[in-house]
Amino acid sequence: MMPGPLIDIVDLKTHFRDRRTGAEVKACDGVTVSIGEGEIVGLVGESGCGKSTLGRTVVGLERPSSGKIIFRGEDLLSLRGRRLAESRRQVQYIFQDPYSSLSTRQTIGQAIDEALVINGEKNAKARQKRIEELLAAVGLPTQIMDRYSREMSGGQRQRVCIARALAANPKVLICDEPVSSLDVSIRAQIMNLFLQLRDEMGMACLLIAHDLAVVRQAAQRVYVMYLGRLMEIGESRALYDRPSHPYTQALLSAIPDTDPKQERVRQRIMLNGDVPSPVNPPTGCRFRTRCTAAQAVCETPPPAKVMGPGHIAACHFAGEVNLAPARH
Amino acid sequence: MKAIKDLYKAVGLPICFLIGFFIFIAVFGKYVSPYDPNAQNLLKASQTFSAEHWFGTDNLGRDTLSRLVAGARTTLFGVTLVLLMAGSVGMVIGTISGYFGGWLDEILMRIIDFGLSVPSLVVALAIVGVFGPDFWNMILALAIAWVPIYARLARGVVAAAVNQPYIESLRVLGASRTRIIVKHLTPAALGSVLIYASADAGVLALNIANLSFLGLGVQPPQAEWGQMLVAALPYLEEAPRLVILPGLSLTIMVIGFNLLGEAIALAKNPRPMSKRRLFQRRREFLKEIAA
Amino acid sequence: MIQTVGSATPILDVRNLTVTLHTPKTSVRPVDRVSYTVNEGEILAIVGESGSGKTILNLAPLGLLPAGVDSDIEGSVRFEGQDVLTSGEDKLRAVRGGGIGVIFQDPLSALNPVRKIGRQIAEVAEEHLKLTPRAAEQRAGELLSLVGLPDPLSRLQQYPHELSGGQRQRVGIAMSIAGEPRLLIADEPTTALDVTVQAQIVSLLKDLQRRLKMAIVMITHDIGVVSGMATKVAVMYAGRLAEIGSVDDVLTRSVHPYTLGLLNSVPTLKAPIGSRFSGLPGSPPDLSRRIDGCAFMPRCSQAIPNCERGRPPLVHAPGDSPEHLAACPVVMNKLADELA
Repeated sequence: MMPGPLIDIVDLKTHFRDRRTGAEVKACDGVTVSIGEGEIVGLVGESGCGKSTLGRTVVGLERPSSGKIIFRGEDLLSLRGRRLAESRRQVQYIFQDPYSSLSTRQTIGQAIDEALVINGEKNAKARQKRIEELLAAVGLPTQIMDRYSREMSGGQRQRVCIARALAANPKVLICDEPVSSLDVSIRAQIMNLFLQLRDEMGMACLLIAHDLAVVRQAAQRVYVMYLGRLMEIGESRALYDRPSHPYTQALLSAIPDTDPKQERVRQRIMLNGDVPSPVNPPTGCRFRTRCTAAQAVCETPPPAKVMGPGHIAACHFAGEVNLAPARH
Repeated sequence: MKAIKDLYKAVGLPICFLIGFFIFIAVFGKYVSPYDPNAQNLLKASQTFSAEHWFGTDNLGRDTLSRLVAGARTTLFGVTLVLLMAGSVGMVIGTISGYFGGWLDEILMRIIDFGLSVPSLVVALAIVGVFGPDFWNMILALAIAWVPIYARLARGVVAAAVNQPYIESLRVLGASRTRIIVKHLTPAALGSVLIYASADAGVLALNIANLSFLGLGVQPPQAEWGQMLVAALPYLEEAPRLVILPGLSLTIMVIGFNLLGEAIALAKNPRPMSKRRLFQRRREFLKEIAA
Repeated sequence: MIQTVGSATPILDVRNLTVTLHTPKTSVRPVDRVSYTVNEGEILAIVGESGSGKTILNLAPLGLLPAGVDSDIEGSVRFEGQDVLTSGEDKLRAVRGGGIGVIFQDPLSALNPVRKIGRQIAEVAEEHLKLTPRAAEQRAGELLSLVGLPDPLSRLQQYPHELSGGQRQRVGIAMSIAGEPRLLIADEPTTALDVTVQAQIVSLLKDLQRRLKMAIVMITHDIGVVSGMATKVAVMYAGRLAEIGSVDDVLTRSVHPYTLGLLNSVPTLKAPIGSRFSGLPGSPPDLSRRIDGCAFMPRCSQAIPNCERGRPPLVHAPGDSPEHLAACPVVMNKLADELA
């Protein structure tokens, strides 16, 4: 499909030390994700699974404990100084909350201008022109340059954040829940913008989200994460049509149907108990404490079973277990 | 400029007059005083209120009004100087501490905590004891004593801001540390520092007067209210105005600073509207909707 | 305004409720002449996005607006026949937590972080059921078990920060039903939760509703939650009621363009992979300004000239349900066609 991954995140581990208790929180504990040029890849999971930590580590907001981040052939973690800065700039980040991502003391124009200055554009006229181009690229009128973020709606603010990220000429956008804090009817505007950027600029995206329906529609490939590890990966169609890992099945089953008649009768998978603490994840398969199909063998590390081309599930019973009836 | 307009809108006309008055005295006081505050004229000593000397003269024949104005200038000068020094040093320490965190933060903050626990008077005594009583040594002592609170203030603001998405997004965009600290964190800290300083000025003015009263600060013949007060005590019976007037001046200035501080705090945290304002708001809105 | 034929007094009867909020700088009207009823045993979902007024609608009459905001409330809100807006603070306090329970969106904000959970729940029971502290504590334990928290007795001694988000929300629910309310108002109770936990909470609420015979008003923007729980749905837009009716009518036989647009915006697993997302263009109007005609008109693909002529009244939607109403001139035309 694509000529080799643009970004290859290899066995990344990011552990934190809890200040209060001193315990080690294994937020992201050995995850391998690859993103090709112009590809939108989804990373889904519930809160506490470590997907945000992964995204933050890739852009340098968190320091990893081990692993590699290979961008265009070089391991970012082994670079220093200028080389590191140049490469890092090509991987930008979109935050969940567009309001707190923008300084309240700057106008939109000033914020994007600053991004351009940081990225080396010395000519003020050239910057002005670029600001107009960027605003047009995200569908905002140029008049918005003189406004402050508090005068704008959530959807507009998120577009500004995207325009600002584009000012750095990135190859990949890491988007952490980019639409969760926006109204449902507005989300489409932003999601379509990501699709447009991919189609027109070849922009790759790592879409980190908990809304599986959104991820399914936007991403070509999806990674499912739980408690710091990957449970299942695959192309959207295969993963959503034939989910092979019990956790994926449970996640899909939890999505409500908007038709009340269907919703009333459909069966839902209920998981046992709560998510265990990332300080002390269960041995072997991390999901076994909540999985209704868990057996003794699940206390040993699960194999990565290949279910089809590019479709892998980390489960002893992948393909054999089916916690939910088919959804159509 | 815009800032002045904002200030006027925020704190109202009376406070603006007050600030204007202070600034006027500080800058033009020398030219406005009827006499040289240090000019002695023993022939006219200890005179009461008169047309020639509006507030009379002191025991050495110096014009009281001129000395009050000079005292005002000394106090304002001292307050400004201390706040500038303590504010800037405090902000630098606090910003560095807040930005870098970790062990640097811990060490700096423990030093600051120590500084906070020592009363300003003790610091002043220590400095003056070593270097001698003098206006500049007093300023130095007060500045040292005042640094910790501003360091703490700045550190609080910066430590909170550093983890905010808007600062993190600058890091991801590739902004240098310097840019983040100077262009974004410092202005944020400056805001809090200025608000605190406006209320703090009154306390500082009192401290300057206290130290001078005790003989540890401004030395005669330089005019300063606290020092004028202590010098006039022996003459309390015959010329009470020499004691009352400096005291009154100090009181008025401190009240003025406090009002300024309150007004700024109020502007930042608006209280519920008065009934009158509410009715006004209601009428305006109904007109807008019905129009 | 239609009431269900043959029912007793509705538990909640809201008529022409208008809420105006004033701050020194601006005024907004987040609720503009809204009327609806909730009968015993019903679960009414009030659906809307930000700026729809759905939260203020429910919190203002109970006096639960944030401090420092001046509000004008007009109209009537009758709880079990008694107008809550004209009751004094004492009566209101008895109703809050007693007749009416409230579940807040953020479980953390409803719980006092420095007090034990058991104590907080027991307090509610003491106040409204007039129990002794000991009996109240016992009741608290029963409630925790009722909401599905494992090991309820040890939970009583725990503090809020020791629990997970889902567990805290369960505690919040326990607190809201501790006074044995007849009406439960739930403000976005599942928004801050993961999707697997959401399913559990929805199931819990339905179960509690059956057992305790409560009516529920559920404020939400999540259509999935609505379809899973509600018997009746009211769609709010810009402080006004756009559409109201049974859940089947509003979700599967919707007529108001906003409702249709909103439902269309919810991504489903049936959409073709890689297709464009559907949504609504633009954004909701500014509620501090005057709105001429229909508030949704600027974003509506079906707008006709009539939509500008004053605020559209609620009319019957074409079809068999007498209680299915929508405020839309386009719907009015369809109705006229049907009758013709």
